[in-house]
Amino acid sequence: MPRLQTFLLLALLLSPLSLRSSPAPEPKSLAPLEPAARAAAEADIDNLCRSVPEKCDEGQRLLSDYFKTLNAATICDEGSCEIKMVRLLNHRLRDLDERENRLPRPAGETAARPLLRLSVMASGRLMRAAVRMNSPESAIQYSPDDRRFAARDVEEYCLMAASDCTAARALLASDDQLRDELEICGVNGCAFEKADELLLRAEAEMSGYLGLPKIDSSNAVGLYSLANGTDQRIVSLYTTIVNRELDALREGANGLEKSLDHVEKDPADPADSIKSMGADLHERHRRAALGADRLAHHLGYGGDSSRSSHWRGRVNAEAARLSALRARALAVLSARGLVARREAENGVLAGAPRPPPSAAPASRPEPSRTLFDSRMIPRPEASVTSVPDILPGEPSRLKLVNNMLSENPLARADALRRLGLSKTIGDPGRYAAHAFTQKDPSGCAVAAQAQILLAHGLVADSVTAETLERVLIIEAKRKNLMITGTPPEYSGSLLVERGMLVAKNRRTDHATLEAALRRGSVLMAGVNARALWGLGSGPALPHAILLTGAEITSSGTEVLGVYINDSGVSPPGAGRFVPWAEFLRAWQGDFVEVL
Amino acid sequence: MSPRRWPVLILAAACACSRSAPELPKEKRSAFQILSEGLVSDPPCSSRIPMEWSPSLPVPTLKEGRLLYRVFFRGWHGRPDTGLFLHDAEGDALFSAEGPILDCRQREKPGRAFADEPSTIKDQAEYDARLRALYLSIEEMGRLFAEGNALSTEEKIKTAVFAEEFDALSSPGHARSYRALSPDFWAWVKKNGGKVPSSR
Repeated sequence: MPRLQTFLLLALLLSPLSLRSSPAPEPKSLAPLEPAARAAAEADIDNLCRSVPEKCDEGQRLLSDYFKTLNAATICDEGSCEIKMVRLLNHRLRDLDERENRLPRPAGETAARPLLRLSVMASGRLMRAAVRMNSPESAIQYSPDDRRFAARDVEEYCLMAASDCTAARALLASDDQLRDELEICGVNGCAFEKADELLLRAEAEMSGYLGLPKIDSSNAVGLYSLANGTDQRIVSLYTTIVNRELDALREGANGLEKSLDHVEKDPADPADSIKSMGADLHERHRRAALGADRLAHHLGYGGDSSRSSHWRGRVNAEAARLSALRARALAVLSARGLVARREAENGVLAGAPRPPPSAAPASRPEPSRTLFDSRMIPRPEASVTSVPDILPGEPSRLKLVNNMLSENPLARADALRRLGLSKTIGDPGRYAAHAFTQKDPSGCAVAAQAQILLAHGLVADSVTAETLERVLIIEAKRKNLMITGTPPEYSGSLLVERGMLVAKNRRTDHATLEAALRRGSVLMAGVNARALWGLGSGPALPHAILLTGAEITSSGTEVLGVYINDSGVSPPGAGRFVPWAEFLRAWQGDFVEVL
Repeated sequence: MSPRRWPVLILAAACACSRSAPELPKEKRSAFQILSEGLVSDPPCSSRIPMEWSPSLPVPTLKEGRLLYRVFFRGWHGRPDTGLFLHDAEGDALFSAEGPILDCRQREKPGRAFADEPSTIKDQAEYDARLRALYLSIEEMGRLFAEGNALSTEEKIKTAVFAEEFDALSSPGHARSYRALSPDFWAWVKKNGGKVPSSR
């Protein structure tokens, strides 16, 4: 460009003749909005002059400088300047934004900042000019983590749509508040609950960002960087806290183990130390488990699975250890007569009387706390109800012998069981009494957990299964354990919230599943309902069911099949027997084990 | 039961109990199929997609010259006795055959629901075998699509067979969503003699 033109442009930029409301030379993209933006900026400064008169001159000078820079940027956008002018104007814009940032804001931090909209328009035009001159880097003004960059993104949204403007402004305000609270947490230390709240708010902030439409000039990089930076700081804090909780859980388990060692050796020990550890260990497990799953879920947004599976693995290991310690504690307390023998055998510490042996207990005792989970009944009492039939009817002995050799797995399992040649592991009868058909289409995982809570007597008698499903869904949504459906990380988390010990297994093999069944645990498993229901072939229908027991041959060499509770069918599949190979075809590789 | 039958019963029991465990379903799926079908369990999808949704068949797409695959996620509702309904696309994922999921998100609006139409292939084993073959074919088509060369006659035949099979194994109600996953790919398929997914 000739030197003369550069000189004229500089003269225009510096000239006092640049009028406050000089018209936009050439409308491009945001250009149609320019008159309104200029008017809003003038009104803003007028407001400043009224509210803070001593800053009026400074505001007016700033406004005038923005107008000049915008006019010059428009000329560059039309192709009438060199790249060094683009750089100069960029530098100048940055200074102007800095001055704007220092202006008092009578309407508060969340008020509109119309001067920045002029900056957005000017930098958009400079960027176009720089790109045309093959030098886009000349138009970059801010590092992405600069909060001023985010403030400009907000004003860009405000130029385009009022609803997006409100959402973007709320995002900025929420980020400010989050950072303040994070700062306090960093200085004073942070309880798990507070960190959990901050993490969920960071998730909401990132979702808010993702919900905004993309904008042309910067793709809202400033807002993203701000939200992402806050998120990373919160994740770092949260990780520290989850590690702390996991360490506390391990130390608590170590303490219980030592106490048990001592009590087992000393018959005179009153075992008070064991009894007093229950509630505390239960709470430590709840926090560590929720924290590990929250991290897995949260880090999943960024595609990071390696670290999150590490935390879940630690929780699984500690839960299994606690389960074993619970059994030892029960044995000790039972031997001392501190809990009734029958109750101890069934895993009850708190001395609650057992329900009568009927399919649907008429009434249950008041729940009371157990050793280190809040369940009244850590393991449901076995054999209270009869195991559901595999096949109906009363076949003759001869028919049974024939069936025993049958290729039909149902007939064979039925015959082996009737002839006493197989054994039932788990307690399908008890769980079958609590099967129900889910009401919410996405509520299968919740319905499965509801049945476990009902079978463990953790719900008041007056609460029906349908009510429980509804209440649990509300609770799960409130705690972010359920969104449209249940995210895989939170399968079983409603049980953890009630103090139950669970181990979560993702993408595992059938040997691991079989081992859990052989331990007699009740499991929640993910299956393809199309295969389970025999609906022919087609797209998978993911579904969660309960595995309430297994039938294995007396020799223990072969799993014949599993008993399931299926909330997806009506009447509910209460204790339905599914042959092992058929189940494995439907199983999708995930399960949650109640320990 | 007559005492004379007891030896028979004991013998039969011995036979029945000593039988080896039933043959478990063998893992014959390709790594690509395992990856595609398990997308909901892997980050970032595990954080964004509920476990009740399933991924569609993957469709090749090119992004800045790189071969990637797109799927959509669909929910469902209903019961066997009252009717089952599949949902149209409610989420999307973009991933590479090597594993990283590059993007995964829920759509803002829930998908339209339509009555489930099970595949015309009644035999599950046949369906599974054809699905495994289709996944291999999708990878091969992806490679040919990314190379951008003119196809040989044999490759054109393969493309036509792939397209027929894709149409047969995908649910007709999702045809429009499949086409929208990668319009360029379906244009390439059509150009090479294959059909695009249709609503039948």
